[in-house]
This record gives sequence, C-alpha cells and structure tokens, in this order.
Amino acid sequence: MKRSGDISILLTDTKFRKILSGWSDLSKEEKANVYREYELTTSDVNILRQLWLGLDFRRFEYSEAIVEDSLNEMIWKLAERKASLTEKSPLRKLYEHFARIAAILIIPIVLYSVYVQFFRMDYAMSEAMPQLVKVSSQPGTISSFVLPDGSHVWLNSGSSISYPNHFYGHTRTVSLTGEAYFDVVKNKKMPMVVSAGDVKLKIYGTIFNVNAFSSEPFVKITLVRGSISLYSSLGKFNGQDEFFIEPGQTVTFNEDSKNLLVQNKDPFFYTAWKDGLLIFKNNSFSMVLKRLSRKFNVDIELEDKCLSAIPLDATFKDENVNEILRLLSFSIPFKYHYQSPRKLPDGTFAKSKIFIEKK
Amino acid sequence: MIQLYEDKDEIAIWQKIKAGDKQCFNQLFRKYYSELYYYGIKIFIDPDFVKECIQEVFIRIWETRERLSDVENVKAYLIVSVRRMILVKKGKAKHKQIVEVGPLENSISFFDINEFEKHEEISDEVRQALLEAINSLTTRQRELIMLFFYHELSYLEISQVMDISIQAVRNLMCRTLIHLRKSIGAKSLKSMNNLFLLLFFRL
Repeated sequence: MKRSGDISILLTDTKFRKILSGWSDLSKEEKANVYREYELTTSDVNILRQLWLGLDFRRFEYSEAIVEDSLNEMIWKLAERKASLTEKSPLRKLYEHFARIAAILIIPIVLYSVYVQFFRMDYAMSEAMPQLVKVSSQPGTISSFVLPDGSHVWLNSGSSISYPNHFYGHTRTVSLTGEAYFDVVKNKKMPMVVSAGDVKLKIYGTIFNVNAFSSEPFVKITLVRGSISLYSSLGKFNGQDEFFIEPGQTVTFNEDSKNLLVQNKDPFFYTAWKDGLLIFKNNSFSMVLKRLSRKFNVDIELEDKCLSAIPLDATFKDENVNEILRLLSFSIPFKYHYQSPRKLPDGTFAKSKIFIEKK
Repeated sequence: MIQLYEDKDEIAIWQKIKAGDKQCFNQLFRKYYSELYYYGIKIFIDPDFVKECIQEVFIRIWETRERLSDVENVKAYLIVSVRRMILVKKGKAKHKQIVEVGPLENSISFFDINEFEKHEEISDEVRQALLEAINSLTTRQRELIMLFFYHELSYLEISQVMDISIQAVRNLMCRTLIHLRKSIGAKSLKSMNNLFLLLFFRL
C-alpha cells in the first residue's frame, strides 16, 4: 500500500489503529506483514505506537450520583419552563404585546407634556387665565352687581366695566369706562386696581365713585370712605408716584391738561345717581343736557349756544325727561320739541331727538 | 461491527425520544453527560456554566422533540449543540462580566498530563514532550485532537462540529500529527533504546 505524506497520518486509519493497539500480541510474522504492507521501518512503528499511546485520553467519567443530580435538576427546570409556558396564555401574550405598545406610546406623551409644561407656559397659563367679563349698563339704566371678590359695583347708564371672572395675581384689576360707584371689600394683600382712562386707582377697601366717560376729557373720583391712591402711567403727581385721595375729596383728572383738581364737595352730589337721583349743583346748562341725554338715552341738541353756560342747581327723582325739561324751562328761557324716531334701513329706530331753542 | 450496532441502537433511542419516551431521554442524558461535560469544560472553564448549557441543550431537545430531525450520530449532534449553546450563552453573558474572559471563538484550554492514560511503554520524558507539543498547538488543532482521539468522531462529524470542510479537517489533521510526531521523534528513539537496554539488563 502506497502511503502519501507523513507516516503519522496512519493514526487516522481505523484498521492501522487496531493493529497498533494489539501490537504486543502480534507474532513476528504478523509484524513483518505490517511493516511490508505499510512500508514502515521498526522505528516508524515505534514512533507511531508512542504517539498513539501518548494520545490515549483518560476517559473522564462523572460518578453516577453527580449525573443523576444534574439530570434531576434538568427535569426540574423543564417542569418549571413548562409551567411558565402554560402560564403565558394567549391573553397574557396579548397583554404583553399591548404593554409593549403602550410603553412605546408613553414616550411621546411624556415628551409632549414636558414640552407644554416648560416651553408653552403661555399656553398652559391661558388655560388657567380667567375669562374677562364685561358688564355694560345700557343708556337709561343703572346696573348693580357683585364682583368675584364680593365687592359691590353700581354702574351708571352708558357705562361698562371689565374684570376677570376670578381675580388672580397680586391685584384685582378692573377697567372702567363711564361712571361707577364702588363698595370694595377689604383685602390689603390684594388691592383692587381700577383703570379709568389714563389713570389708575389703587384701592384697599373703601367706597368711592369714579366718573370716566370716554366722551368727556376728565376722570372724576369721589372718595366716600377709606383711602385710595391715584397713579398714572403718564407721570408723577406733585413728584409722587401715587396721589392719595382723602375721604370727602373729589379729584378731577383733566386728560387734556394732565392736571389734577382737588375739590371738597359733598360726595353725595357725585354718588346720588346710584340711588336714582339726578342732582345738579352749579352745573352749566349744556352739562345738564348731556347728563339727561345719557340718562334717558335721547339725543338733545342745543340749537342756541348762548344758553349753554347758564349755571343751575336742581335735584330730580323719578321724573321723566319730558317732566325735567318742563320744570327746567321755568327757570331758563327755552322751548323744546321732539323729533319722532326715524326708522333706519335695517328696520330699527334711531334715538329720539329733542331740539332746544331759545324762546 | 459492534460500533455499527450501537449506532443503530442510538438511532432507535432518538426515534423513541421524538415519540415522547421520557425514559430514553433520561438514558441519553446519563450516557453523554460526562462526555459533553468534558468537551464543554475544555471550551469554557466554568463548571456551573457548562452544566447549565448541557441541561439547556437537553431541555431544548425535549421541548422541540416533535420537530427534531433524524440524526446520523447522536453524540456528534449533542457535541455540536453544546458547543453552540456555550458560544451563544457566553456571548450573551459577555457584557455582564467585568473582566473579558476571552474571545467569542471558543478556545480549548491546555491539557494536563493526568488527562492521558499512563502507558509503561512511553517514558515520562516523551509524555511530557508530547503534552508540551499538544499545548503549543493552535486552539483549533487542540479541538481537533480532542474530537478525534477522545470523542472518536469521524472527519465528517468533526467538520460539522468545527464548521469547516472535510478537506480542511483532513489537512489540519495532517499538519497536527506531523508536528506531534516530530516533537517526540528524537526522544522516542532515545527512550526506546533505554527501554531495550532495560530489557537487555533484565534478561
């Protein structure tokens, strides 16, 4: 038999390995046959035998007890696995599936809420921001209502007031056009701020009247009781940020000249309107007509301007505009006539108009 | 012939396991546990880890018994399975270990002199030289030696275990045996002479 390569490869030959393992039992003739057949010298066979015996691994065998222990442990694990597999019912699997989806969905939700919380404060604030409420008193009517903090407000005809539906922050802010009488609930920690035209009033709890019609270039504040201060974004008053008004004082802020006029008049004169009284004291005839026009929701036109400056004192209660004009005509030489209300294109009627002319 | 009969016997056992015979399953475990353990511990020196891997291999066999394919050689199949299981588990466990245990590729640890049978015909000197030669082999060569001489697998089976072609196994075996023969060549002659001298004096 021809051998290619090294003699050591014979070790991989099953038949030759058998010969090697039984070598010592072979007869001289048999050995000679092997030498011939495999073309080997005595030393070749010696080396191969040594190599063969040298690679004779000692069999590693665990004791039966150890194998049994491991087998039992494996059977135990198998049973456990089976139990956990059966535990995982389709429902359980479905739950786990959805739990996984939910876990993924939670991330954008958390990110979004963080975004809203920290970057969209204004958005979040607007949710908490109170709604602005506007109360208007129609011409010819006087409204009386209570602010969210419990303060009482009388709103003269043709006036309006806006305020938040609940007060927040450090002040109770209210803005007014027209005339209103306030009875403010005391709260030193949270003063009320009434903004009327260019001036603002800081009130800690008091009773006062504000007259701030946009049609007239002044704001008139009459303090009945307590203390209020007046301030303006336009500048300081007598070098002070705030001007404190004393009870009984009437302060008139002229929006044209930016001047303050302080008078000590009976406050009743300025606050009587809330009780339905119409009081004139040293008022010009034009001013009287203006107030009548507002109170009774009519346009009054004074055709002869020479009458406008006539001063007069008067007090009316419950009389209608016709009656008042009739009574006034006793002391002032004028006559008046109505113009019946015109029908407007949209079907409504224009205000009735009263013309006043010199007798 | 006996070998052939055993193989047939094993294939029958395999079929019985596929049919759900638990006794045969346990029998297979008992029969190969030690041998698989020896192979495993050579790849990864952690007794508990190797034990778990072998158990896991058997658990998987039992769990998937209905889908098991027929095998030519059960032992080779088990060795391949244990080898894969150890490599996979080692890869998974790798990140848990603070100290890198070794490359993912299995490395066959060095052999000890006590792992070989002691034969009177070879001197300690030759045994030592052979051991040093084996331990100086590459890890794949050491695995090849072990699979061939210890586990007595065929070239085909070794090629499956080591995941290389049969020809590659053949070539590797050739190189390995030449290396080993050369390492003991000179010494063996010397020891043989000594042996002859010893025998001569005795006579």
